[in-house]
Amino acid sequence: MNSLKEFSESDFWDIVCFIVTSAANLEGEKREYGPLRLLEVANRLINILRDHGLISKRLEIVQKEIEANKYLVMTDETLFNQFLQSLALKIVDLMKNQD
Amino acid sequence: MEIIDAIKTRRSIRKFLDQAVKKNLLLELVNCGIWAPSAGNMQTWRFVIVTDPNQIHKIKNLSPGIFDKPQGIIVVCSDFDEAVEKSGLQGEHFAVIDAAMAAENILLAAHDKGLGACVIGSFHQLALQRLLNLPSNIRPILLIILGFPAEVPKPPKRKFEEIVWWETYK
Repeated sequence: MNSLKEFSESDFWDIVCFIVTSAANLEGEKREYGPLRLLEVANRLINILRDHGLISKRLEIVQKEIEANKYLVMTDETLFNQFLQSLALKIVDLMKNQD
Repeated sequence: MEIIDAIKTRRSIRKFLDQAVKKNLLLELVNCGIWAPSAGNMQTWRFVIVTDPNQIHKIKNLSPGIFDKPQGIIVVCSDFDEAVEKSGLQGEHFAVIDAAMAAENILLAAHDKGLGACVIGSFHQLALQRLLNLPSNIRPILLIILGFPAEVPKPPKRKFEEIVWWETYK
């Protein structure tokens, strides 16, 4: 693993805010926004890790998939749900490839 | 731009270029907003225009619906006390509708000016009220995030035949 730059509180403040306000709002929001918010947390965590020097091919693949497909939630809920399932399966492939 | 063209080519833009939007342009957009109709001519809408990157960052932290870094945010609010005073118990209901009509004017004007914009409803209302020092009667209804578009998404499908009836429903 690469050596990482030191983390500071501000690196995580934004994502903590996102998680807290998402949690506070989700009860009254569209059902698919729950998975969307979780995907966004994954996306932002990957950004933080990359900004601190962690280079990971499989994280990059997951992030590209999220970025390319997350807005399906706005246009086609069926495709969005299919994407969620396919991403979960892709993670298995990425785990196997890492072995 | 023709109005119908503007209506049909406007998209919800969520990714923006790192290019500032002039304050005069934002004021012009809000001025278009207040030419929207309002129930009984209440005009209870209020607008907070935010361009300071630090303040935008704080709003983003309270708004899970914002993913990128907009260059400006127009917070469309309503004065609920004034709405109730002018229109009774239905005032709050109409105040929200009026804010939405003003927002649509702003979106179309932004599109006409080459800006991208998106309405954001996913924000924590009370937290935003506190951040912006809004009194309790001034409630944020919608955020409009703005900037020059970094990408323009394809339009979602419209289901015209399934949602329109003549004379009576079904």
